[in-house]
Amino acid sequence: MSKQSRRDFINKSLLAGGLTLAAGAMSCRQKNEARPLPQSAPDGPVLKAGLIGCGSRGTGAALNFLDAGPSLEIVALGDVFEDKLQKCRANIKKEKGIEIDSEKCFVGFDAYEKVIDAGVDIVLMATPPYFRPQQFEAAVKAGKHIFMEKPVAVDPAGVRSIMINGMRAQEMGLSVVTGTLKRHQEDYLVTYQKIKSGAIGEIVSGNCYYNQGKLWHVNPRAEWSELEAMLRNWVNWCWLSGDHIVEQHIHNIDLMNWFIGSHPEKATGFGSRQRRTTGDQYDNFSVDYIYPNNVHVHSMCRQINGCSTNVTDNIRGTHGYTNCENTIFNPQGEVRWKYPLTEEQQNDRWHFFWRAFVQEHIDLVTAVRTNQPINEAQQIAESSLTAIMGRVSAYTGKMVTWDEMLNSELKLGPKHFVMGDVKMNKTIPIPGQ
Amino acid sequence: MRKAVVRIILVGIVLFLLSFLFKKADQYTSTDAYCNSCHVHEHAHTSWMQSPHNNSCEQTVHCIDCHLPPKGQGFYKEKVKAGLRDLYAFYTKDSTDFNWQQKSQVDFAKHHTFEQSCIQCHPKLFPSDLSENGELAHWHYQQNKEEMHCIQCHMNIGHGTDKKASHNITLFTKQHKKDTIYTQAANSIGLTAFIETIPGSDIAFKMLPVQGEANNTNDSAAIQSFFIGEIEVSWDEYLLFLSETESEGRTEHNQVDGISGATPPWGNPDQGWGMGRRPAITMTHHAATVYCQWLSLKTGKDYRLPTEAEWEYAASKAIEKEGLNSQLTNTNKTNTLEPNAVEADGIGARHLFGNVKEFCSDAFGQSTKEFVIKGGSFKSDIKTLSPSFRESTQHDNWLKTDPQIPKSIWWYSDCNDVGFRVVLSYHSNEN
Repeated sequence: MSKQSRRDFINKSLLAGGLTLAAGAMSCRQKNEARPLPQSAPDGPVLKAGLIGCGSRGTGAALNFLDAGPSLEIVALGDVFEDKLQKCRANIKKEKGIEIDSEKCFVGFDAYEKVIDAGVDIVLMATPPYFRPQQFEAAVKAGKHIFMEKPVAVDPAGVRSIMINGMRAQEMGLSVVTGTLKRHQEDYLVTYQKIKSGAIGEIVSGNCYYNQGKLWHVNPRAEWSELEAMLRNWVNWCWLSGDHIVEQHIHNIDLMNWFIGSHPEKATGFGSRQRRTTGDQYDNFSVDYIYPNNVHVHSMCRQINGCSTNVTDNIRGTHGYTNCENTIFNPQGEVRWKYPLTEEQQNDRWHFFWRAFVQEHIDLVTAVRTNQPINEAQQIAESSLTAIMGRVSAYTGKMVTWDEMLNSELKLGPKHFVMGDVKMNKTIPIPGQ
Repeated sequence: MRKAVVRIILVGIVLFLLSFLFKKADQYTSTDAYCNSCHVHEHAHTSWMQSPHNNSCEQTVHCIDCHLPPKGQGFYKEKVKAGLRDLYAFYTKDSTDFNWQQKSQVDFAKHHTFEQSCIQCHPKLFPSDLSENGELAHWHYQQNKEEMHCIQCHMNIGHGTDKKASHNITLFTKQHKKDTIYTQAANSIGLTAFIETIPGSDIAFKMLPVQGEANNTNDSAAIQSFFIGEIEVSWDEYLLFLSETESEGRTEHNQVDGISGATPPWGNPDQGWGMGRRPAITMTHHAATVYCQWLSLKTGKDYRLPTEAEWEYAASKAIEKEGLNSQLTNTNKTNTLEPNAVEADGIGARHLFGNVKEFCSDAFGQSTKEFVIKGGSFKSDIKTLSPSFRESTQHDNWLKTDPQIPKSIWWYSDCNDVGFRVVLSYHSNEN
């Protein structure tokens, strides 16, 4: 398979996206190092946004959008659950004093269509990722600019849909930004530029970790149908979240794809379920990804309390290594370069991290208002598929190739969405079977 | 000083005149009328007139719009090349000798149809009203641009009547026309030729006897007697199989006596050459095997693909007296032919050599997905053919442009010269 077209597409997205913003002006992005990212989107005609998925992250995304610059409005909300929607509505009113018209608050599985049709310019998507491909397609076809949380799909069928509609969005001049924070973090962007300029030589290997404690779960209640219980407990069901390697570890996996400049060709993974109490997911994965030129990346993620935690990245080159975030070491482990932090930044370990939540929306609004579209659909689709590869390999016990995954017919989830029993296979995968 | 000014003015005038003449010449040689003025490809003009590129586009698409790259992308270079080539051909060759059919097939047509010209007019690959199949096809194209060309799917849109991609799916949903309906399969007696009749249809075909090497012996390596199809399995026969077993989708199989049939093909599997008694082509080895299972269920016999040894044995007998000659084969051509286009060989069969490569049941070497194919095809050079000549299927290459996911297990998208012939073991104690 030719990789040229995809690489072109990614390069365009990269250049048009994070790098453009990091470098400031088109003319200097090739030569100069990254400049400070814009602290606010430029002013312009009012941009109205609608939010699909009113949980905590959706509410956060709506507030982040409103913080991105002047003349920005949230005018419509959509969620499957009334209580989630009203809580989000109340929070937006409390934080920003904005009262969202009850006529533009939509509840149900078709709420996304109504939000898209509610006279908005931008759609913010933060439902469980299972629903993203369908919502993305509808929003693109309706000509909306889009912010969508990661990951963007839980199966190969969804990934292909994102890729197709990402290309469609590009043809339509729409901007698409996703929730891969590191690509909107100034320290990562500057470090990336240095690595691309050869600061550690040729990349030879990488490690990435998302080892943390248990996330959260919601026990079923008697008054809930099985589908409702699943939706409210979505981070524990593979068909809704993609499992935690897809849902969370994608941050690190996306970083590896970004820095290496490619997706992997193969993956061999292990995983198991040791302590998780609900749903059908594993709670630990360990995957060996093989990128072009036999570059191996070891990915590790865990959601078990009482174990060592570690959420970091590391990439080695022929002349040194980097934590990808802000530091470059020589082969002996001595610091060769460190991102120059201001005093404020030094006092706040998470300065760039928290900043990135708003930065994503600054970058999106800037792209829309300056008519320089950015499109992160292909890169996030590839990262989602990379994570799915790892999951499938761990679930099956088999080595999985990129082409197999890209062309796989695997589609998760039930066929029908009516609150009630969910007819689908809910057994926990056992490798080798 | 004055002379210099005069010279500059004169050079300017000459340059202006040259540029004017060049522009006029360019305009004149870029018209449809000019392209058609040599009167050697009137059919191309007629088919273009019927095509959506002439009569249903917002604006007429002219010859040079497709057959030359856009200006700024090698237009003049290609125009000079094409012009010199056409002039040479016009004055030194007889246009009646030109193989227009060959030139209009994808492999050749992509050399004189410029992809960047398609893209120039159709820059958007994903319009909102694109069908799901179209989305997948264009996505597939995006992933494999260097190996694909627009006309692989949109072949008859510039010359012909196709409005979008080449589809011929409705062809396979039609009920087969039944004239004489056979009620039962043939009752073969002894090792003699017989006409097989497929129950519930008007389809019949002839099976020829091949006397084995060692009848009534226990030598397991020896070729036992068998029957072999007089002709390669024809479209008439294969369409009956499709109409009785065809699945509507990749996951919903209709069950006909336990056989899950082929999905509808992507594109036009007969390549526009016609069906009838021409050999069915472009099916996969798997599809051919399932066809044999279906035929066996229909007739109560054990039809199957030949082993390579059986095929070779029959082919050796077929040419042992007269040798292999052009009267027996369809080779060095551009398409398949009907059986009666050649003479019957030494065992009464037609087209054992040439026409289409024929599947055998043997795997090729240690491969798990490649199979032996025998006899060469219409594309082969007759000098290379012999009973022992063998080739391999090329599974991945032959599915390169199939946009479906997963790729079809029933149809090759990129091989138009493979088919098969059935055989039947002979059991001497049978009546």
